[in-house]
Amino acid sequence: MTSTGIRQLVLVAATFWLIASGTGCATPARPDPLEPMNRGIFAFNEALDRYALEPVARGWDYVLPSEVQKGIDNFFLNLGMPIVFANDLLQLKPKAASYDLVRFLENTIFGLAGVIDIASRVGVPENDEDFGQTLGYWGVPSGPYLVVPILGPYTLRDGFGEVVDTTAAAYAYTNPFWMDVVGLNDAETAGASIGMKGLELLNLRAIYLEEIEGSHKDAFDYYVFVRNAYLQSRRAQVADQTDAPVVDDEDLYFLDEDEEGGDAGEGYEDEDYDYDEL
Amino acid sequence: MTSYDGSIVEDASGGCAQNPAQNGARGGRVRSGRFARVVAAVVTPIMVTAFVFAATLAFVSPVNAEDDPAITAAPRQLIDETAGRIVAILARKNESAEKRISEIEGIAYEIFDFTTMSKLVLARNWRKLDKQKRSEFVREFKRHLARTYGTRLDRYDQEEVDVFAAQLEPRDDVSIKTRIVGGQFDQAEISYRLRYRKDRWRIIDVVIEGVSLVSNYRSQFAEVLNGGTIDDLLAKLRDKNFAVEDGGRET
Repeated sequence: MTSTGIRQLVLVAATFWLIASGTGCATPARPDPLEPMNRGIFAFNEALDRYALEPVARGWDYVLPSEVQKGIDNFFLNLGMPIVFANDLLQLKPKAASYDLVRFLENTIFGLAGVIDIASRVGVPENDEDFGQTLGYWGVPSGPYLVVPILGPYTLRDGFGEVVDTTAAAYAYTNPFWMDVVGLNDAETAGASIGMKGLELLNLRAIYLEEIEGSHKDAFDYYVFVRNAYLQSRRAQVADQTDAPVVDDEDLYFLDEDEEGGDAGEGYEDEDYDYDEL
Repeated sequence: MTSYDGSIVEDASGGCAQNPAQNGARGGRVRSGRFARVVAAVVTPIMVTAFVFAATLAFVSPVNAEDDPAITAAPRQLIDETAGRIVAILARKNESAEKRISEIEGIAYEIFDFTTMSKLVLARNWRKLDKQKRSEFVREFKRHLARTYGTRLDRYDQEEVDVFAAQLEPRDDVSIKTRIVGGQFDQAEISYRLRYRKDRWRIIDVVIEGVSLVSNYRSQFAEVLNGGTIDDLLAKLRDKNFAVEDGGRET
């Protein structure tokens, strides 16, 4: 099948999704129709963080030097590279795919199974792709914002993407052949997978202790703060554009354009003084 | 008036994927793993703002196609020089943190256009305010921005910043694009949007890995104003400013 053919196929699927989820590009829907439910789950996650995850992460941070934390994080990032590689291919980005393949091999072989990020030191670019972004690349809209218990912010599309990525990774890493080699049964394999995921999250939480504390202090509405940052960030990732916002507000920088007329005397742009100097 | 290329802002469609062809043109961008997601979802934009100022200039790369050096030289220089000034302040480790912080706050007062930022973050709510309320808001917001990043600067003094591009934006704005080199946020992209007003260039937004500070504040303030009045928002701002000053000075 030609790439155009594949594209058409995906677009049909995307259109179906678009109708099914009731959101479209032409009419940007409210980003968060499930806000009451999401806020409830968000509050639950926050409580979980405050009374369980954060205290443990502080202990983790106290015991382990930051270099070790970084090494653990590198290990998990490297573990995820095959999935990134697959999504590079699904987005027809051969250059990124080849870089990511080289990165994975280099760090796995020469970097102690990924603990040391040799590839970055020698200047191999790193890409961040996942199946949610792949769907976005092919035109699937993000759908409503979702806060998932324990796991945090997603959109419908990106949550689905995460399920696909996780399943693929789980299949790759815990298929019976490998597990026989290691000598684990199914229950032990599942336990080990969850344990690994937990370790990854805990370590990540420890790395960003100060930043998360700071963002709690500064936010005027922490739920909205996180939602806005997450949605902006995902739009940027899908568009591969990190040097300018992928705006959902047409008037982000120009307020006086599509405002309804009237009160021109109180316009936005025509004043030549600074209010803080009045 | 100068010509400009408005592709970035104009082409962006709300929440939707970009044209794959355009992606291709922009493809291969360097980013560091889950970093973008974690930072964007969690880290305070203001705080990360600080990194750039805690930085030294590595090198200036050749100009890109959407650049016009005749116009962008001045804002580019502003970002460069500011980084240098902040690095010099942070290097004076023998002085008290309080003194360093207040000097950096002073720099923030010069380089940000707080009036324009206030308009942008309040959006249509700005129209409803009289002159006095506008002044009050601008002053409190200014203190909030300057204080929050001023008090956090000391931690992030190891990074360098690479100013890698300048770009003309619609309505004669200019974007200065920088990249952090080294440290915890290695390779993070921070872009400054500047506007020329009152005879000088000043920053009107900071965009970290595609996350706009103005957009983030706008959504939060809209939420506060949705359930309350401008006085509620002002009260919240004052509380925060007070708490920061209190915490910073152990009064």
